[in-house]
Amino acid sequence: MDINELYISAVSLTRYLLAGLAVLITGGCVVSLVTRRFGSRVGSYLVEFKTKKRIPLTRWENSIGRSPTCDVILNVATVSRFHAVISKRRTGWVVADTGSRTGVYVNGEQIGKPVVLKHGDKVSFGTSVFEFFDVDVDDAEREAEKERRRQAKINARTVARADNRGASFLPAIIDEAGDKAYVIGCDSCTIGRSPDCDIRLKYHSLSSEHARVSKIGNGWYIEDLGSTNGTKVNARFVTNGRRKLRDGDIIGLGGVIFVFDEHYKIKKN
Amino acid sequence: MNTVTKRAYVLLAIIIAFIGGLVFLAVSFFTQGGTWATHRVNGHLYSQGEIKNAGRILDRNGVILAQSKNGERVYNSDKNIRKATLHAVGDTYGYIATGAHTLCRDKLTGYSFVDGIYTLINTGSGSDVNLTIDAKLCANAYRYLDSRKGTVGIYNYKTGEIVCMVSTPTYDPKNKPEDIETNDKYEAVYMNRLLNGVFTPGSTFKTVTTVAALENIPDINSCTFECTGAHATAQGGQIICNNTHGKISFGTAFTKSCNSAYAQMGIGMGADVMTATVNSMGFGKSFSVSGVNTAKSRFDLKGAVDIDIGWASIGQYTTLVNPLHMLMIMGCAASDGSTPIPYFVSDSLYDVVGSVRTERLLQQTTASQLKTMMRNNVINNYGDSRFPDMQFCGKTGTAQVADEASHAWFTGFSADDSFPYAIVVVVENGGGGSEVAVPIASKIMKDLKNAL
Amino acid sequence: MSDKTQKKKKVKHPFNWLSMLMLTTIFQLISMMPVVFLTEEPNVEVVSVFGGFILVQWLYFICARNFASQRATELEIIAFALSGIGLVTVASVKPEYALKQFIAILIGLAAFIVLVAIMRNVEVISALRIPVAIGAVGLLAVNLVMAETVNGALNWINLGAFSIQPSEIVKIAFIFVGAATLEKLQSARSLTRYLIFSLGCVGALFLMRDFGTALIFFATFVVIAFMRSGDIKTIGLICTGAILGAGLIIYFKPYVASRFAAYRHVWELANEGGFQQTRVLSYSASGGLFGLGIGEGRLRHIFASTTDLIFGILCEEWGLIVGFCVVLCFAFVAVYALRIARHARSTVYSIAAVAAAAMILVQLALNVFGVTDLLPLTGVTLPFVSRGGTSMICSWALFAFIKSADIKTYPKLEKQMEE
Repeated sequence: MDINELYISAVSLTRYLLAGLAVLITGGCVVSLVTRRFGSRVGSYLVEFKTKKRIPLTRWENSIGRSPTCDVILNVATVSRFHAVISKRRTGWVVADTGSRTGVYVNGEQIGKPVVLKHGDKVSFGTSVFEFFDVDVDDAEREAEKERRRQAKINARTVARADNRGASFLPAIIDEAGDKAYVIGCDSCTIGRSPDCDIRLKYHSLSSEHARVSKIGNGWYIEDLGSTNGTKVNARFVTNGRRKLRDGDIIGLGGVIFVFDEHYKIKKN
Repeated sequence: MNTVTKRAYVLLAIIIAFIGGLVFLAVSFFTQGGTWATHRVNGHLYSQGEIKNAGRILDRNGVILAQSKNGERVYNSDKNIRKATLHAVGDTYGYIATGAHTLCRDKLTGYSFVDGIYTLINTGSGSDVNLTIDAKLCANAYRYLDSRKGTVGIYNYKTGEIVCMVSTPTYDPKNKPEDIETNDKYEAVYMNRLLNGVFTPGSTFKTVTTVAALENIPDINSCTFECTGAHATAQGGQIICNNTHGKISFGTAFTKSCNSAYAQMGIGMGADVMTATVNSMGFGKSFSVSGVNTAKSRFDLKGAVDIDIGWASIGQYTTLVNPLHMLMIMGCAASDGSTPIPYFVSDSLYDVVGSVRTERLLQQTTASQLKTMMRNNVINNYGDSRFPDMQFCGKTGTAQVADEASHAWFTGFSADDSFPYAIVVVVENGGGGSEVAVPIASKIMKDLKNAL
Repeated sequence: MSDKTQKKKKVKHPFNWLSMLMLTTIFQLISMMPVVFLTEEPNVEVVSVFGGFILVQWLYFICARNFASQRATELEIIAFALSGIGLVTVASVKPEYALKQFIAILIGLAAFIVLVAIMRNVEVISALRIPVAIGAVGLLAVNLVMAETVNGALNWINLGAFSIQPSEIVKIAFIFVGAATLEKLQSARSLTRYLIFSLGCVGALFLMRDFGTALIFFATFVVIAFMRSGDIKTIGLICTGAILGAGLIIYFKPYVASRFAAYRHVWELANEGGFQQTRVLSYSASGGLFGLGIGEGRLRHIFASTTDLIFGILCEEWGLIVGFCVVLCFAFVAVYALRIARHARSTVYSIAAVAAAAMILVQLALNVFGVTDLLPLTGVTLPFVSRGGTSMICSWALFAFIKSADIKTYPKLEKQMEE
């Protein structure tokens, strides 16, 4: 076989090679494209205020209304067919009224322009009332909680040693970033926006008298004073009565996060 | 948002429509790819509309009728063979639709769905095509036609092979005449008259009427008819006979070709019965001969009165017959009523098709009776010496056409099992069947007999 | 985070980018060989363009993999494979085309990357909507004023060494503007503003006598309008209006209809109106399943062989298998676009992916079925494969719309969502 013949047979071979490769490449890409699986993820919840039923919001845009084509169907007479849209934007979750007759209320106020929803906000469509529950914030709370628990275990040993020496401590609530601590100086301490409170916090989402931390026996307890946006301990609402606080607990006051440090300061008698 | 994403299924409709189109395209490529690839626009095969590179075309004895040499198409060296086989071989420009050059383009160019024309381009030639015709026989038939317009067709009624297929006028593909479009001499030159021509059949149609009578008139063999030199119908008008036969029996009526008797038979049966039987014999039907759809024979008695039925029964009126169809009727008469469909391209594919597909045009008993009558006809009218050792059966026809000389017809077959050939000869405006057509048939059948 | 999603995340993606990339490269090298050795002396420019193309391709995938954590790169493999086929074909017909085509691929790739980056953020899309719409209409207006007539259509603007086809760039804007609906999800269900924008585009294209592109725009408009409003009545009305309008144009301007006279009669008009279609059909069938070999065809000598008729060259020289693979790739990309649109995080991506896929398919159908006489021949390009810079850029950009709908394109975003 001379070179020319070799060349010709090589050329004729490439015809089949090209076709085969084309099929392989197409097949490979197509199979992969067509069998791809897509996960869906719950970004936030609307928690129905009375029944505590959770409605997950998986998309970045969710229509709410009475119409069966809506993502969240509210079969209530006071809700319009296309009532509102909750969408995720860079600023967070935004609720917008889409020309409803009965309006959209966030924390009791009717909205005109779209409003950014915060974790724990109360949203009403007509007579349907929901609590907005942001999974991202909630997750952040849980992450922080884990970290605090770990820290608390380490602290517990030092505290135990100090206890043995007969010392007593003043607790404090420390803000999320850890730059500011509010010492609970008395046995019954009120927290809120009002200047009459023992601890005054200037956050808009807090009520004027939001919550009270008090010492009963050897333990510290928290109770909600009928705030608008509620009080949470470790991501759970404090609804009725008090709740015991442990070192490292995460306290949510109207969406603002604090950490409870039981042994913040040695008490000087 | 769920509603919006659900609307995305509108895309599915587009995808399905698109894939549907693709499937259609792929199927089209599969079924029509051969036609497309071998179309005259293909520069690989054609140069200025003329086919260049293709396989050879051979006759049944291996005589080369056309081949490619140095990028040129070369025909047989004998001028008569070139002219006689023109309609079977076809021209390189594709004017002659019945020719192998057009019919077998895909085989000649070696086209296949898988490889396209790759082999042709790389080896320089396609596959050979073998025809069933005998080139020398065709050349003889062409000479016997003696530059009159007409056709000669002979086929083997046991196998379906067409051994002779000549259609005139014809031309020499090597030197195509300049005035081919204008000269009356070349009227309808591209048409293969055997396959695609239709002619007024004249008395050859009496074979068909005979069959109708045999099948529809119960005591036909004992019937007699009165011939006074013409037959007048009840509504007026008369059909002229070639002679005054007096009282004539059915058998004699055929031999004497008595128009009066046949008109009476036709009128007696009536338009509906006649039409039904004639249609069952393949009138109004096209046959696929090696992929060529033959012209349909025509027998139409719609709105016809008695005089029209009478004329139609003797092969006049609006009756038209395709010569190949007549040939097939002969084949059926020769072999118990059915015949393989004739073919002239002996490709493996066409072989199978040719030998498997048969057509029944006559009933078995009718066929043998017709055969006997046609045999008597030859013995009494033309003499066995015209067709020696063939047990020949046949019928002539002189078909009157308006304002011109009659078409001369002869059609018949050899009843000899060892020589199973049927023939049809038509000479347009040639004159009397016995004077013009029979001598041609006689000579060519002798040639065929000697050649075997 | 629910357990369900956790499980799904663990499913290993079956796409093996490296082996696919290697197969594609082997395919390209084999196809390039005959072009390089076609001439007595290898053309230095062509060889370096081919080398550059393969280099860019590998660079892209290595960077995408390592610096942008791209795990799912099927779309890019398809885009590069198709661009490669186009580049080789174009270079084999005329070596001078090679460099321009390569530059077009580079610009297209850049446009792809930039558009994917822009599409990350719905706010940015929203903000850019109005300027893009105005720019698009402006570009068409400029086109109408100073366009040059090329092949009977007035759709080219000459800029020195390069000439651009604004209608191709407007295609990108058309989808971009159409997809950016956002808060209008329910409130603005009327299509008035988008309808006016679309009418402007389609009307301008009609004036330019670019009927193929006008048809593509119209089909895409119908898809986007349906996605946005779901209002079948209005859309039906618009379609009826469009058909009536087209009928009127054909009635009053018979020369428009005469352009399509050969439709379904190409073989009778083989040397007139059906010239291109008959050649494509005949030569495509000549190639068989495996083709006659690159450079061995004859369709290449026909006018517009590398633009409108390139599908025929593929079938003749590369074979029906390659030709159909190319077309099927697009069909399955559309299937992918549909699936991703169902799971998109925002309506913007849903609409963008569906509209882009619809636009590609309609254009592909007009091209492939046009040259094979299943549809009237309108003279549009085959995405990625046909010669033409703006068409190449547009093809890449359309893929960017589909790519950006997939959350896997933005690993940080995905991570943030999946945690």
